[in-house]
Amino acid sequence: MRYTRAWQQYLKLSVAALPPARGLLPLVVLLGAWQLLQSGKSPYFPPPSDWWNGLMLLSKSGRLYPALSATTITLLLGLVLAAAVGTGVGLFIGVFPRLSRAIGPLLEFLRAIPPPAIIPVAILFLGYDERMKLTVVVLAAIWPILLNTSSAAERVHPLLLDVARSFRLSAVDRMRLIILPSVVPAILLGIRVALPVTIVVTLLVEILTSIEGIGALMIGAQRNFQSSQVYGLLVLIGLFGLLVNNIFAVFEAILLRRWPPKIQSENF
Amino acid sequence: MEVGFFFWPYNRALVENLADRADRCGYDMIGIADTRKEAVCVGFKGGMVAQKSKLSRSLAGLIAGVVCIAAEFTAPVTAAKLTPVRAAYIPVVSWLPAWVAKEKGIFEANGLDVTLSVTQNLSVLPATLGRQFDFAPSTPPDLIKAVLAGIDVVAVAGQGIETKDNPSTHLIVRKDSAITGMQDLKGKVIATPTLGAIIHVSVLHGLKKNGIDPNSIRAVEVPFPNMPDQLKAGNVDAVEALEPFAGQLLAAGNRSLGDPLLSVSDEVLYTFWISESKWATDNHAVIEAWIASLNQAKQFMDANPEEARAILAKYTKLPEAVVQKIPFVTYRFSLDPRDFAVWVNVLKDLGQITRSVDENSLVVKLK
Amino acid sequence: MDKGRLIARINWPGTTVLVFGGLAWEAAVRSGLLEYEYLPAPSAIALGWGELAKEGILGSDIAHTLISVAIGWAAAMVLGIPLGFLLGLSATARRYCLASIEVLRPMPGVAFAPVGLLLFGFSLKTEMVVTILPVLWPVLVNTMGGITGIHQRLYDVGRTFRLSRKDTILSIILPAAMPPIVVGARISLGLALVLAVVAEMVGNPEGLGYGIVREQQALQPDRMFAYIVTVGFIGIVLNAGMLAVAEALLPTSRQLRGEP
Repeated sequence: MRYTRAWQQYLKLSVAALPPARGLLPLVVLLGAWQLLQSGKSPYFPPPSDWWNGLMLLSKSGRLYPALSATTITLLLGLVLAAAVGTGVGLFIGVFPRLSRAIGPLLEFLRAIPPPAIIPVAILFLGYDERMKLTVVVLAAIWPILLNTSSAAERVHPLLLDVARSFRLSAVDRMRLIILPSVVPAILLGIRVALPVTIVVTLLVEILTSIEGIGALMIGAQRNFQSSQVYGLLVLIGLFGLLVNNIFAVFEAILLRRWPPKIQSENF
Repeated sequence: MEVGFFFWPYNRALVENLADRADRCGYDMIGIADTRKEAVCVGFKGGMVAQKSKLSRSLAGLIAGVVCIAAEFTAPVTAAKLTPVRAAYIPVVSWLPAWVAKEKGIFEANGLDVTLSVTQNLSVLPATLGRQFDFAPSTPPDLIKAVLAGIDVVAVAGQGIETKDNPSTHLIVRKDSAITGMQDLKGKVIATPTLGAIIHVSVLHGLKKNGIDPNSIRAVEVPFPNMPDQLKAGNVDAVEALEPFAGQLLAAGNRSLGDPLLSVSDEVLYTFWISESKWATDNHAVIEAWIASLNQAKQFMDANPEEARAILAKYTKLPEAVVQKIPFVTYRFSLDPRDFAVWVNVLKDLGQITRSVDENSLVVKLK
Repeated sequence: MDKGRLIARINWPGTTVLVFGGLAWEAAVRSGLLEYEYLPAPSAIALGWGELAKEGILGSDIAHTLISVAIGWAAAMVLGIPLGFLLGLSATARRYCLASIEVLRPMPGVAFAPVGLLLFGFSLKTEMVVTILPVLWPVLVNTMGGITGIHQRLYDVGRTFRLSRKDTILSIILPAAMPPIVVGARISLGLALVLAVVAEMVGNPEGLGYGIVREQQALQPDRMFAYIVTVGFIGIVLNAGMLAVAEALLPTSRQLRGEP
């Protein structure tokens, strides 16, 4: 048996977890086709080469990096908060289905209200700062995590719950040793789905209120009829999303490396 | 003798083509007239009298003439005369003359069949011209930036101007605020309906004129109806407001720092209509009819303010009490390129545009 | 159904919570605790709602938004589930597509509103441009995740029984992947509603979203909140409908726990 250091194992796991770079092929082909078909200047559909120029213009004016950092900070904080609150409430709902009936309609109600309608109310209570942005982002990003967590917590295999009863585990221990480990893969799936939602809602809040961030740059560019900048920023966002997703995939792979395989309850 | 009637949507080239074909089929082709945008062509096969071409032609021409005149009398008269026009509007008092012209049939009297569509957002309108709309509202910064970005639009008719005697826009602060004028705004938070739009541009210009660096203030976008609460809560230090919201804020006891637009000039171009350049060049008659209609609508408004307010209420859906107090904007429907030059300089001075644009290219040239 | 069972089926705890929340809000506004021009009391909102219903515009706006949601969600399901299956089952497809999907996912639908307006003007199609792409992803990713998460042992069972490919898909893969797929569909439905309303707020001036903006600009906060409340209720109804469908398709483990 060859001895490999831990970090070497992690590295192998990470590389295995990342989506291969050749996955970008469809998009590259699309961009190439666009560039070939549209070589001239167009105010609404500029070719990709113009997008690069637009971005360079923005970065030279010094507005790109502050906006990028503002969006990133909101994103990270929002994700952490959404994960924490979403997991907590989701576990609660899954383990106590009767309580889920009680707060269910209220949650559904909140889930359906679109961020642009929440924003004015949030501004009333929180003003025009980072807190308001975070609140709206968290309120929107919670749902995939919450739903996936509660769904998985409901479906914990009864056999495992019997184990908990056999060992006469306390509620806390049952949560910690039985339910949580069963539910973690679902939580991670929920976070995976929530990642782009977080990015989208952060951008949405920035677009609608022009609070500092990439979204504010985008709406400003659109109002100045600079579509090349808008498309360039979209590409930036896409790549940013890919980066965040890759980081998360690595994190997930390392976390789940020793996880027990999933057992589905329906089929037994 | 065979008689053939050919109906065809009116298109000169097509009809001449049709005449050729009829000739080849042996019809004596005459009488191309358009009624209701359709060409009625009467053809006769075989001559009516000995002289095939000429006499039968003139007789057939007579018959065709009778047929066409008859057709015209049976068709609704207006349908042949009106030009369909699609216009967008924003539900704000500035665009009242267009609504009055539509409601009172003034457009129809000038030969236009106008469809008005509501929209909330100015910046997307230049893109819709030539596709969905023929006329759209705009403001000087909007037009200048669109033209510089390569969008082919031009100003065709004026609408509202801002004058010292009739300010419609105010920069408002709380009654207990320490701010007394623009010079006190350094480092403060200002609420604007849209960053980069005309009101905010004029505020930045006013700040610069008063010696304040425009970058020292923080601007946030707040829709007009939310401004009273934001001001009261202290989230913002000053708000840029338009009628009727300005009137409401002032009635609640807040103070006005003045009209930011007047910092650009004592009489400054505010709103106007734009169209696609190519369409504008081809449709001078429509544009002139448009301007004439708006002028007549204004006369109606001056003579019948109550009825005008009723139309205002209908299109803005504002509450009755609010509608009664809204002052009418000062209207001027002709355009002068020099008014645009002023704005080009303002934008360049603020660094919002990098190139200059010839102000004469911004306005359509009507003979 | 007799009256007793009907009463038992109504979600009493849920309704109580909602009613309690509403009462607390009303009390806060009337006592002056929440004094904002922009935040009316629930009683005022109810009156505004009644006005809108009487005028008939509420009905047509609801219909417009629901059609938009239906088309967007149906398109997302029709595209997303097969694609998710493909990506879940075929490692090659995943290799060549995953990175592109990850790049496209964070695009805010709102950013496409100007493009949609340019191509389709003020129409339902513009709403589709804003709605379809973001709504596609939860269904696709959840389907894909559901299929890749199927335990190897289940495939072994299939092989032991020498199940054909079709039978494997129908008897093993589909039931095993159903819960995440259904969750994905639920998320997508909620997202479709949100995006349709957003598209109406910034793009196509029709439907509930436009109603919100229009009443806001017309200085009628009670009618505006009436529209927002309507959107919320539609969300509840849609979700309840989706849950009912999910229960029909796959009974939850409550049965296994011995609950009625």
